[in-house]
Amino acid sequence: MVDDFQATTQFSTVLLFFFGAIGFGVISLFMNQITGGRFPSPSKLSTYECGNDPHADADIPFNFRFAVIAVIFLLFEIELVFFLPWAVSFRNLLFTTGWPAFFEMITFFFILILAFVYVWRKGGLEWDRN
Amino acid sequence: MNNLDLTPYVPWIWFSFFGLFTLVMALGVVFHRKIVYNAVFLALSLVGTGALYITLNADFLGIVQILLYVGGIIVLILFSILLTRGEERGVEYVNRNKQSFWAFSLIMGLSLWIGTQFWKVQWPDANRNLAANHWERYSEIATIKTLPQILNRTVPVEAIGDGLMKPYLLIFELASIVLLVAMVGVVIYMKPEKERGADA
Amino acid sequence: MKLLEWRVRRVPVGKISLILGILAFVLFATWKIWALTGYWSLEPAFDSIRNFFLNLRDKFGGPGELPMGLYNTIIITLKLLGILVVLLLIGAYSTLMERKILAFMQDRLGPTRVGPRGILQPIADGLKLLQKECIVPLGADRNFHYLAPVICFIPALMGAVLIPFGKGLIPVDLNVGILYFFALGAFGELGIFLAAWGSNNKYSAIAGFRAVAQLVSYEIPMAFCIMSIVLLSGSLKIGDIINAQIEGATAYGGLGFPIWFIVPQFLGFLIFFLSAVAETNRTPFDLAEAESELVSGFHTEYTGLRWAFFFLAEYVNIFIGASIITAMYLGGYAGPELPFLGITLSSVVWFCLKVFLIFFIIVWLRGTLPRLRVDQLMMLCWKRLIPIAMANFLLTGIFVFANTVRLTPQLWPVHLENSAYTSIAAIVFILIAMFGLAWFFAKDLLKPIKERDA
Repeated sequence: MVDDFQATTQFSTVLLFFFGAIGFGVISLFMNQITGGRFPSPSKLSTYECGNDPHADADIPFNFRFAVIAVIFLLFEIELVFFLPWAVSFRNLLFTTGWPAFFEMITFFFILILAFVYVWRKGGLEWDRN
Repeated sequence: MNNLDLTPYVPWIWFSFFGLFTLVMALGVVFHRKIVYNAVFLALSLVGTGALYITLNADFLGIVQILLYVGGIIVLILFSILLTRGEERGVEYVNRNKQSFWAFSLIMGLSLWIGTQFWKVQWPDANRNLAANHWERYSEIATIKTLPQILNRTVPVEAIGDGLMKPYLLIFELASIVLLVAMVGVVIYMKPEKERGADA
Repeated sequence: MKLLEWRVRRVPVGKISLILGILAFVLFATWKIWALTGYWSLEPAFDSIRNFFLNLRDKFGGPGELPMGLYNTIIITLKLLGILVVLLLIGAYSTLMERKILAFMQDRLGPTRVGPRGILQPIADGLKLLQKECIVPLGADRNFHYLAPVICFIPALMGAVLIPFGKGLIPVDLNVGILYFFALGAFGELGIFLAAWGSNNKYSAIAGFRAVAQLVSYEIPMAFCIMSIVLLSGSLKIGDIINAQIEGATAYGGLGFPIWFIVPQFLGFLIFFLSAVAETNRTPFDLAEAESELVSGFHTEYTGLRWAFFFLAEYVNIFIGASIITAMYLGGYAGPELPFLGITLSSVVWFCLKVFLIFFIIVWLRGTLPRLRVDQLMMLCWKRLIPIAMANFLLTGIFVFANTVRLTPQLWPVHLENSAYTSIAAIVFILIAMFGLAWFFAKDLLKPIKERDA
């Protein structure tokens, strides 16, 4: 009958939840459009700046650190994706390959630590560089 | 009418749906004039790709695709866009140079070539035993024996761990070296231009 | 249109609340009666739906047996509607609960006017927000401004798919399990970014960058904690993780004896808890919506239900985070069977109690701690939580390795072949070299922390 192990079976429910979320959101926001009415005025439509007239558009200078954090995060995330399958099958691997299953991963892990320590020491994690 | 049960075709219907979705979003990436919109279309296109993987029963890959590309790379792209083009909010970019003909013909040629390769490749037959496959030789997990089983059943995460630790161990360890090099790249990238030459 | 507005603007909030309250009571009574007749599970309800269609077929000679796909779809849709209602109630009543707890901590009463002891306050709030005008500020990006609340709400509802409400009550026990939550976090980041950039407000923009950087950073210690748990349980599935804690059987890859993972993973629990608080943008990590500096953060320019959607998503995300913590560290729905309740219902009660405990601690933090600075927030994550989480992961790996070797005689060193010894020797040599290298770096990197702290 229904094979619960199949990814397609499982994710059909997830898909329905996805469309349910979109449907619920769109319907209720549309309802709010009707019930909320529309009474625009210049001061209401201006962006909030503590009561003053807004000063230009919201193109503020952007801290460079955010981009660096994003890059480091991406590298870490890739390493984590490599870790996960190993963590799941670690015990089975111990039975089939023996001790190397552990030490191969430790090698990988220490290279990651090396990279982390390098970035830290070179000041990659500092928020203000002065 | 009596036996109209579409259940076996549902994955294929969804596959076509997500394929179309991915393509439409990719067209949005190419043709929309605002750069932040391009990034968001790219994100949606990558979500569609992840969904494609899931319809092909590769749920781990699909989730990782969404996790890495939408959660990581799109965030990075958005940050980079705001970093470089902060003062041009809502500006529409119009391509003024005359490369569109060459770009179009190049892409058409490439697509044609890839299409012909698709026809040339001998796709694994459902009844063919893949005894020569290295998966068969190395993997002791019983669930991965032949391709039909791979296609009809979800590959467990354990099998991916097995693959990384046995046949693809060297590549796996090399990946960590590549990531280390990338970290070094980050450190160079974040330095101001003046210091960059001196230290790197 | 004018008439509709006139009517809507004079909604008798009190009366409607009363009616809704009575409705809720009737629903509760129905459920109670239903429960007393002995049906604890929902299967009879699903069967009755199927029988309804079969009866239709018998009476009117319809199109044969209902296709299995359609039948499943109906059941899943029912689940969806049920979970949606539950989540809406949770989102609404979390606000009331938080206000009450905060009032208790500050020696106030909190909301008291709407309904007895203010119990209908969230419903009144919702009706009020429904009447508010939807404003899109000038110069804002309309599409992103409309899209952002929905995108923020999507992961909140989709995350509910994996919540272990009770024994056998996980809506779908996905194979990828806990990794799925991380993928959903990506949608959350996208929604916040769209809201922030689409508002054309400087406060929103600053808050958006902060929020995305924060969400991104705190995912890493969280992931390391999750991997420690996965090492102990040997599976990504939520159901397997809970079973590993309840049964402790080695078949599940457990420790060999039943124990909640908070005991072997206490460090991981602390880190995961802090990261979960940061992921949901709560005090003391609520830099993204810091009222005193950034007005209201990335939803400054939002009004009405669209604003409510951000809050709904936030509170549902807190609930989901608390559920994951419960499932991973506190044994999920595990607990002794309560008198007069079936196994299923007592497991639901235990789950709710544990989730409420976590929620209470999160509110407690809000009532007690001041907000961090941006640099402190980032340093806490990158220089404290991530190294500790990595060390925790390494220790867990060594522990599991040693434990497995202890339990299986064929892995003992006396049984290993010569070639295995050579490879082990080589690996140990590499390890020692790496330790030395790491130590060389570590000596240097410890210095600035001490200076900073002093």
